[in-house]
Amino acid sequence: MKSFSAQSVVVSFLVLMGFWYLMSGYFDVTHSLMGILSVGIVLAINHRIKKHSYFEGETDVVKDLRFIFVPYYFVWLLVQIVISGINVAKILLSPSLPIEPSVVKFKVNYPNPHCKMILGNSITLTPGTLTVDIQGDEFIVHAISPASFEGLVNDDMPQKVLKLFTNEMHPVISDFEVIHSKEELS
Amino acid sequence: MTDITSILSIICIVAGIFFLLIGSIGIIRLPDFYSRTHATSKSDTLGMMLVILGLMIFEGLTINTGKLFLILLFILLANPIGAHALARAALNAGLKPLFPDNKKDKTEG
Repeated sequence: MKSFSAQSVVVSFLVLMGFWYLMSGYFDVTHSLMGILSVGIVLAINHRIKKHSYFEGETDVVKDLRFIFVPYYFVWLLVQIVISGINVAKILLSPSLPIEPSVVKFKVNYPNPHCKMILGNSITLTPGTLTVDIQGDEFIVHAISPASFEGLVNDDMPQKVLKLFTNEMHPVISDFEVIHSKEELS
Repeated sequence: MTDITSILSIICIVAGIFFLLIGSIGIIRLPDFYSRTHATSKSDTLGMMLVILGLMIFEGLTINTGKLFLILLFILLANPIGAHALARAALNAGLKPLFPDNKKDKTEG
């Protein structure tokens, strides 16, 4: 059982209400009342799911996340997506097809699982790298060329993810190894 | 008729279509499953983002822009999860990625 905070209910209510207004496009009293009723029903049904904890040590993401840094992170991620998208386009369009596929393994040191989820999604969103598996703290990432995992080697993207959750910065990535052949991949 | 918003949205949509085309070319040119997953999921993310951005600029500040933004958000969430699920299933099924030295072996043997 997770602790059930009033803050999380308020945030869910506001998000769902915003969704309602966006979908309906009407702002008068009748539609607002219908919206409040529907959001209430959704919250009542979801009440038990929100209390259920899916894995050990699960925490409430609304409490942990520092919302001031979220827009900054998304803008940075969008710029990264565009830059690496152009790089991959260059590789694919050059006649010699200069790809050098490799698999990268590393361990991360994060205070909670949401960090790992955000990092995994960010790695996959950036063209050229693909999160293949996450086992405990170990990430297995497939990269299309050595240039595409530079942001992971110099600990740039993981630090940015850590900044979303805490002020205390520490090196995130350890045991970084690049696998070049089938025999090393067990 | 040609004002600045139309020009901007046309540029965005054409760039998006270009990246979607790159993704399709990538499926044909790349050698193995994992690299092909790169081409299909990632170039598509960028392409879709640009197409929807172009539509948002074309639409202006209306309620439909918000709906398009939600579509963009769901694509950004769903695309990496789909790619990850495919790659993970392939790895668990025992499919090994193709490495440069393996390719050399194949051509020599």
